[in-house]
Amino acid sequence: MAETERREADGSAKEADIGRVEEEDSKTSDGAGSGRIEYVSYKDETQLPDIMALIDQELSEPYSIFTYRYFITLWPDLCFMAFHEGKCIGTLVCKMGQHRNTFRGYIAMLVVVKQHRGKGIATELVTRCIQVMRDAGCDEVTLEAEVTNLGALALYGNLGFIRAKRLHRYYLNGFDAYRLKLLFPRPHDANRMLLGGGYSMDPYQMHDCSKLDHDHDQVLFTKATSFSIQVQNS
Amino acid sequence: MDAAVPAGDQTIWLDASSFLSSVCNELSVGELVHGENFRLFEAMSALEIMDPKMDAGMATTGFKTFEEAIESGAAPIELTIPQLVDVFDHILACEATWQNGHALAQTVFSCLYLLNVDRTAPNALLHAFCKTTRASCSMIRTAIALADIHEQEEDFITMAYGLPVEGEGDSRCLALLNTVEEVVARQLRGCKGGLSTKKKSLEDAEPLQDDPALEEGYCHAILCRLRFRKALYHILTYMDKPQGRGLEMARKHILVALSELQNIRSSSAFLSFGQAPDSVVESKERGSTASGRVAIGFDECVNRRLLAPTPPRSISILSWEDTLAYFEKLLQDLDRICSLPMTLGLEEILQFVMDYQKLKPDLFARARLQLLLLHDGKLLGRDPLAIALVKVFNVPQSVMANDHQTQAFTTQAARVTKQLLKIMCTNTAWQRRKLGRILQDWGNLLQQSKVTRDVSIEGSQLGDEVIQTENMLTAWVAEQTCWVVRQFLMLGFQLDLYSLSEFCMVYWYLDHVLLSALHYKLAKESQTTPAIDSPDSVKKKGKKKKGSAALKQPKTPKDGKFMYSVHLLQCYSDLCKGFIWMLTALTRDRKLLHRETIFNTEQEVMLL
Repeated sequence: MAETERREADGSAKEADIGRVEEEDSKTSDGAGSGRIEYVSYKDETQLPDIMALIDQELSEPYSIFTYRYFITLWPDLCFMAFHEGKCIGTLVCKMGQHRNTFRGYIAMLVVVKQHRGKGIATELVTRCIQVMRDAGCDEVTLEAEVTNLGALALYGNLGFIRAKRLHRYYLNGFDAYRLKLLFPRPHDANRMLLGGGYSMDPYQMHDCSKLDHDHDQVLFTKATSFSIQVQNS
Repeated sequence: MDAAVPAGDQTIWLDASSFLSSVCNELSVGELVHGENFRLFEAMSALEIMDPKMDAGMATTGFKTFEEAIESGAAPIELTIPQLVDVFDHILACEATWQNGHALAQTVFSCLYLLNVDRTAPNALLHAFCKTTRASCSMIRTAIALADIHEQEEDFITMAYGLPVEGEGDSRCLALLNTVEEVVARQLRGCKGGLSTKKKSLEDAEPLQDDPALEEGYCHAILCRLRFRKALYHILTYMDKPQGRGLEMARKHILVALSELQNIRSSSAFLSFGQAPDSVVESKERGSTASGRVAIGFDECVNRRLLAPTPPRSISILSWEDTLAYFEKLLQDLDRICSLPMTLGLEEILQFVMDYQKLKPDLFARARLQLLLLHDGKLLGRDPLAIALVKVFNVPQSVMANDHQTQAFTTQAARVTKQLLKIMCTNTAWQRRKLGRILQDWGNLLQQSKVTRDVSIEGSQLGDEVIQTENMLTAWVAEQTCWVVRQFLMLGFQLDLYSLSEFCMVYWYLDHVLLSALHYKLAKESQTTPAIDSPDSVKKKGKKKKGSAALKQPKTPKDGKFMYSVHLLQCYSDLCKGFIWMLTALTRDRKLLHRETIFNTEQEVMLL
């Protein structure tokens, strides 16, 4: 998104690793604090005012109603809301589509109200959405996050996103952004990795090129090509 | 019909409110009427008219036009000296903000004086300063546009949007500046002389302002700012000369500029004297002038209509401290460029650029470097890249003249190398992405260097030389490719792209690249010692050496450098291995926890 700003959806950067995993397992249906958190998928326009109000309130970018309509009308099953005691306290807006030669999901807006942050609500919203994307056949999921938004970076990092690129001065305040990317496992990848001279991808294997037991030129070329193909796709 | 809405030539206005509301009521929940072209771009750029958050024209405060602002007296020509100093300072702050990627209309041209420089003619100091500012900004803008490394960076917009970025006679700004400088300098001498000593004639020593006690301080303040402005202008003109002809002079002016910057810095104490000290506000947040007062004659909104049709945004001009810091860094970065010896070969230049980037230079400095390196498409503005490469390749004259494939290869290599040099001058984030993309080109070049030869020349002396050439070319391309991959991987550290779980993989790749580079280096050395004559020595001797007849080249300097680079690569490789082992050990000891991520595994991370 050209101008999306993300707030700290989840201040969980400092939480212990073990603690995080357990929280995710329990699906946070009984959120910390009083009252359950209810997660619903978008149904119809009557919910749109809630979503707009929440996002307008928490994010500083002004979005027109058309922006919301674009995302939510075309991809209603990628829009989720979190309710607490009847009030909408968190929402997620996404899209997916063909991008060059991959089918890619994109997370556009994610908001959780301040009082309910740090409870894994955002993580839950994102997790549900990613599952839908995966089941719909997406190869990958991407989004942009400000480099200073540690909460978001931790949230997505825990879900397996990596920082694929850094975008210089992406935001109007002059800050850089990371493009975060999550690649889903694909069955044919196992074969692809055996190309290029039979290299094992085990990172712990010691590789001593001085033994000259393989053709470097061939390998270098293949590696260079596959490197650049992967980079082009990112 | 509403009389308030006048009919145009071919138009009549009808009130459609009731029609629209009845149609709206017909739509059920979830129905949307939209044009055919309603896609992401249209949705994102749609604005709600008359919403002040979105509609730039709806802002109710502030002047609507430049003329309105002038008429309301927002930019008086008669200024007291303290006010003038504030204006000078704020202009500098605006320039720094602009070069950091903000719109010209909201920075430099938020200055009402700059929007109409001619108007300032009655005030000599103001006029000279403004004219020089405009000329300087124009040069900077042109340089950045020419270098063409800013396009997709979104950190600089070169379009002027109708702003008066150039003016008649701006090249004479120096003369104006010199005149006013002389006047102020004289006044300063007069102050220092003191009333009791020399006789002052009343005409040529008009005080800048009323309070004689403050006169000297203000003279100093004005003078150092004028001199800084002048030095900056000189630097820009000298650095613009191609082939580095102006670099030495530029360096002298950089020294002057830096020293005047120091003077400007020390004038802050004098200028801010008497301002209520605000202990709560940090010095950084204090205003964009040395005195801390707000400068007269600036209005951010007056150019509102010249901005792109996006929601209105206010930008903050750099603080005074940050402005001074920016210019200091810029001058030092420019100085480093000026120190580039114009005799460097291609590989040394690449090294220079790589080292230069560690200073994290800003856009203008990088643009200047790129213009110097690739002026007119030639290396350092002198040699076409193909020629420079021939020197690097050390290809025998005979092969170069007769072998088409070698020639074709050299042309291709020149193209790819030029691209590489240009990429090396972009900001590191963009650079990494581009490096990844050009790997394909380097891979292709590597293939091209190994094209099969025409059988008929094999066995001949030319054939031998061709084969050896081929090996050297292959080795060169392979080494360069390794360099590109290595830079790509290392930039990932600088840009903070790798998370803990990715380090092992990165070091593994890095280690492999380093050892590949080492392999090629060693291979190249073992092939070149049975001498291939360089084109120069062939000319001198007038005869060709056969096959492996040894003309041992003087060993010592080359050997030392060669062994050093071999050892260095070996060391780096060992470091990588060390890191891999350490990370492995820490992981096995459960000091480092790798989480299981629910959506993918390490395999996917490796692929990315």
